[in-house]
Amino acid sequence: MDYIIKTIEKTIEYMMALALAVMFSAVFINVILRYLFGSGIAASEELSRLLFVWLIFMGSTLAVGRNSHIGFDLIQKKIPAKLRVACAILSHCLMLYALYLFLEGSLRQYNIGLNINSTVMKYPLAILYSTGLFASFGMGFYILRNLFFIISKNNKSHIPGEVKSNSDQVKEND
Amino acid sequence: MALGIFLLSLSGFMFLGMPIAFALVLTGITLMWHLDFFDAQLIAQNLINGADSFPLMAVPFFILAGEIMNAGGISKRIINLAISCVGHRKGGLGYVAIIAAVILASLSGSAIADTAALATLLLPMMRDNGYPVGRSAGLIAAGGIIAPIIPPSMPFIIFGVTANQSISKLFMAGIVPGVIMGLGLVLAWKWSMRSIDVEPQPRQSFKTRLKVTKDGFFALLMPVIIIGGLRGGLFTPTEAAVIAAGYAMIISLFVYREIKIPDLVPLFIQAAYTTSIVMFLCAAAIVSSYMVTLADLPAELISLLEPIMDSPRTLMATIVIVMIFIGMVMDLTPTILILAPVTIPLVIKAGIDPIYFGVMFIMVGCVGLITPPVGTVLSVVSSVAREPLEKITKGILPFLFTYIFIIILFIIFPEIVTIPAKLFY
Amino acid sequence: QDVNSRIIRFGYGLNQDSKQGRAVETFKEEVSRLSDGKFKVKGFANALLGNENQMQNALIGGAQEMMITATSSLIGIDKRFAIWDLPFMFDEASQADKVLDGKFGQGLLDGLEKHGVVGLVYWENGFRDLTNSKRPIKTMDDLDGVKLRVMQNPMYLELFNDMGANAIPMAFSELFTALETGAVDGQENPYSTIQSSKFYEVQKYLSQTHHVYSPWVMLISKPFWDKLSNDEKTIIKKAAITSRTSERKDSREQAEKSLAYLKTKMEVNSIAPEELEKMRASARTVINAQGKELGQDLLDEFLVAVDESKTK
Ligand code: NA
Ligand code: NA
Repeated sequence: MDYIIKTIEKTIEYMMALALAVMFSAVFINVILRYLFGSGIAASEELSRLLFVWLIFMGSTLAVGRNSHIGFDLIQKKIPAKLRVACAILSHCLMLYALYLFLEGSLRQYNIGLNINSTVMKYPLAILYSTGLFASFGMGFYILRNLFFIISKNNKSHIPGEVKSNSDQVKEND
Repeated sequence: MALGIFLLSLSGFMFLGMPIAFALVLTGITLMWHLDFFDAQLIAQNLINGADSFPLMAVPFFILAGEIMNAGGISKRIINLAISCVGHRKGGLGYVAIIAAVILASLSGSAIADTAALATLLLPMMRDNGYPVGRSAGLIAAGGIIAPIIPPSMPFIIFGVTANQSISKLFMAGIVPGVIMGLGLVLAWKWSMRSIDVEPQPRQSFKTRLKVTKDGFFALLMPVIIIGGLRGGLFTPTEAAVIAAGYAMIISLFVYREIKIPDLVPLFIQAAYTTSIVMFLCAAAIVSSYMVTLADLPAELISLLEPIMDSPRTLMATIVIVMIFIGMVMDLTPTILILAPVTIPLVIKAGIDPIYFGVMFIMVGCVGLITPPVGTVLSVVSSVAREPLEKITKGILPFLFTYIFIIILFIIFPEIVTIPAKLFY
Repeated sequence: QDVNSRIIRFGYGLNQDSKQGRAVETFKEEVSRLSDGKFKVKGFANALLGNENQMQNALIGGAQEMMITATSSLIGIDKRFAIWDLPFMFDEASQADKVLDGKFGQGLLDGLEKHGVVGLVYWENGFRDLTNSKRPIKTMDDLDGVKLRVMQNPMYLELFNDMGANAIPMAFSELFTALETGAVDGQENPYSTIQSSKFYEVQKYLSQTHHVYSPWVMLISKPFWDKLSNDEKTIIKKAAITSRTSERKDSREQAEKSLAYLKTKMEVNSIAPEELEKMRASARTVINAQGKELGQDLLDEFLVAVDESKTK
């Protein structure tokens, strides 16, 4: 299981790099075309924006799994461990609720987007809105997994504000 | 009413320890309930459309440029150049740090990247030469936050987009304040080294200096290309970011030859990953600011601040004080995303120049990066230096006070910012 | 009458002091008057509710009630709306009014309902004209080598390239800086936009090509529309027509004022009829290509309606 997840994560990373490289080329080529030939590709902006949105949701999904989103844990550090776990469980449930709404809304917009095409490249907007499906499922998976770890007192759990005794992690917001 | 709900729910969710991005989305949801406009599609739409922005596409490219500059030896050469210029003076490595910080600032848009480069390359050298570590680390942290003031600048881009102000104008307005910050650091460093005696670096031979200058030439060409290109109309801010990354790539690959093409892959991944964290936060802020707009929250704030609305300086001072407190505990990007849309209508109504306000906003926000307890730049220096945060916090005090002095100066005399801004633009 | 209390969120792209803002205000007052204050229209200027495509999706999904959109943004939903982009069709706005409000224009609006939005009326954006910093465009030859920003729409790229310019696609948000710094030489927009976006500060010549007439469309969400009683629908329809009349009047007065203002800032020139005829001839290529794209029947129907508008 862990192996499969690792492989998927690695693939996503490469896709992010590829998306960035294509965005880079699309914008770069338009600058060059403008100066050398006084022209440009109409699809350049639309393509790079679509890739940008995909890149953001792929990366931020991975970041949920790696707990690298910026958080505020000053208060969590100061409170007793039991309360800290309770807070973590509550905030995980709230995040799941937010993701559920994200999923519901994305699904609705995805269905609308099946019949609407983008202005230049004429791709169905559903491709844009499917980022929401990807992210809400992906982030939901990581949050559920961590919630399960917290409840089952698994050592792999991440609880905001908790200082693990023998960890050599760099404390980010200390 | 809406203001209270906004503040209460945002801080409540944040104190639970969840990522700020989620706290912002949940704040939006709470306001949605309050306004009786509940619809899940609004959340999806605002998150996705918040990410779908052409001006913000400059963010990944400036991050990428920074990654490549550090990995490809450009940052190193700039520091070498600074050493050969002022390294032999009393307290010389401190001036090296300041000069390198200002030059790096004109190449990179991120305080974190610059600080990491400066701290990695200079701090060991300063420690070995007997400079007080806390003070040196403090200086580097303080120098690192010049990066977002002198263009290019990620915070200015994010501010420009969220506050609907011209990014190019913000860029040009940042140049002079950034240089003033550098000069301020020079004075503060001179003062703090008055009674400390360390052996200065040996004066380098003319030949070495020539070589270092030649070596650093391509690195120094970069700010000329970026600022010159922006000002001279070769490209827009988003394109400037792409050009910066492309230039850094070409120099590192083919001129300095410190990296090979396969080495770019992890740099692209890292830049994409960092970008996605910043941008997810931006997108989440769109969810809450959509609701903030629907709830007419800025109007509420304006009526609350009515008594001081006709005195721009008092209003400015009030906002600065509030922001310094917020900056103590909050990171820069969320501060911009949350506060810029709320304060900008206020400021425009009070007759304050929005570009001047943008510069002040980012300056004060950046100072927050070096104030405890939550200061991202402080943390970077502390982890690179492997020194406790308290020590660095103590070391940074003279520079922090210098910055606060400069900010007060800019509040009393806004012309220091506005006149050169008009001159450059 | 059967009228309930309702809140209508009305999004638009320009600011509150623009003709869009004023017309939304008119609509709001009219709706409030006709419904005895039960309908509350809340206008959101400056694309606060999102750009046009985003708002359209919100309307289809029922997350927002009303909006104003350019016809070009509707092409993704119904490609027939590309017909309004065809160049050199109208000589005067009154001709466009006839086609828009007549059978052809209303037929197009009716077709939107099956896509989830209801098209109510057309407002006026206006005739588009050319500005640039190089030379007055009096003939097609003058366009030679002018780097002209056009909307990101392949038809416009082709149209202006055919006419000899170097058409460059670029986002509107980047346009002012690009003009100011000379990254592009020129652009094309209605007078009111040229004035409100301060393009006159960075452009020297304004050439009255009037190459395309751009309308706007007032949309209402279908899910919301279906909830309304017949009385309520009538109120909205009546108020929409009132807003249309006042918006067009305002737009034309505004265009006059803008032109007068721009004349103090820029060198303005008109195009001689025979030169305009040459441009028209050059445009035939893209018009025919659009006929293939949109269906020859639709194009013919449109051309007939245009001809009728000129004779009657
Ligand atoms: Na910078
Ligand atoms: Na801080």
